[in-house]
Amino acid sequence: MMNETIEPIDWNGLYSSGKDSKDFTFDMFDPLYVDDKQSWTATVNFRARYSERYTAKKNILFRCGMPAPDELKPDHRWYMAKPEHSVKGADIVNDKLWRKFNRTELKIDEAFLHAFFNVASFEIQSFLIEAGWYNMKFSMRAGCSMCPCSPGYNLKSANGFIRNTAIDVVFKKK
Amino acid sequence: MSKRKGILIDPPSGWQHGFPDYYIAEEHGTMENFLRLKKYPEKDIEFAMQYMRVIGEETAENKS
Repeated sequence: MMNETIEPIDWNGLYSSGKDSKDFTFDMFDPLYVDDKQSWTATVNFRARYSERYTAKKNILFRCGMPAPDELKPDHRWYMAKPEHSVKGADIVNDKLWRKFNRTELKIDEAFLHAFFNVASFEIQSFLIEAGWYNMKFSMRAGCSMCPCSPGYNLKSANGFIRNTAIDVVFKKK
Repeated sequence: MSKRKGILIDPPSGWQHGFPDYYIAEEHGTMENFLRLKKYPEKDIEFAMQYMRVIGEETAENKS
């Protein structure tokens, strides 16, 4: 029987507090065929969340750079025109359309995040799983409980070994 | 290679114009100028200035 040696993961190499944290960039395919080039990059950064006020000991994933549902190709199954702007509660039908639009945005998020996870290195994947990748829940007030200025995903870690971490994932079309 | 402070910004529909990208005040002047430099549509600049996503202050590599 062969004994396989598993190299220990250098967590400190991934996670360095403050502004010296490193970026890790991966090339990935466009999961939604937004345009014909289909090549994007995903850059991920892990940083410690710190505040003078009390903060919950949770990990938060912030993401940006994805297309909106009205920017997909018109023949895409998730394509949806942007509804008219209206005051919430004034037009029930339009409110329903906005809820559908927002849900579709989350689907696009999910598709891009999974495409990123599939091309990420083993160390990054391990870190994300440890931080709670499989217990991810969208919150409009993830970063700040007072206002919806920082929407993101709350990650609930199973054993809490990695906590109070902000994970920034930036998608960019090549 | 020196590093300068920049703000990573992502205006609405920014992926079509090369965003998210670093805005460095000393290099690009005003934010509107930076959007024009990136060929962001002139008619959307006013809207973008109100609803831009600012990811945070980071250090951008100075290639010069």
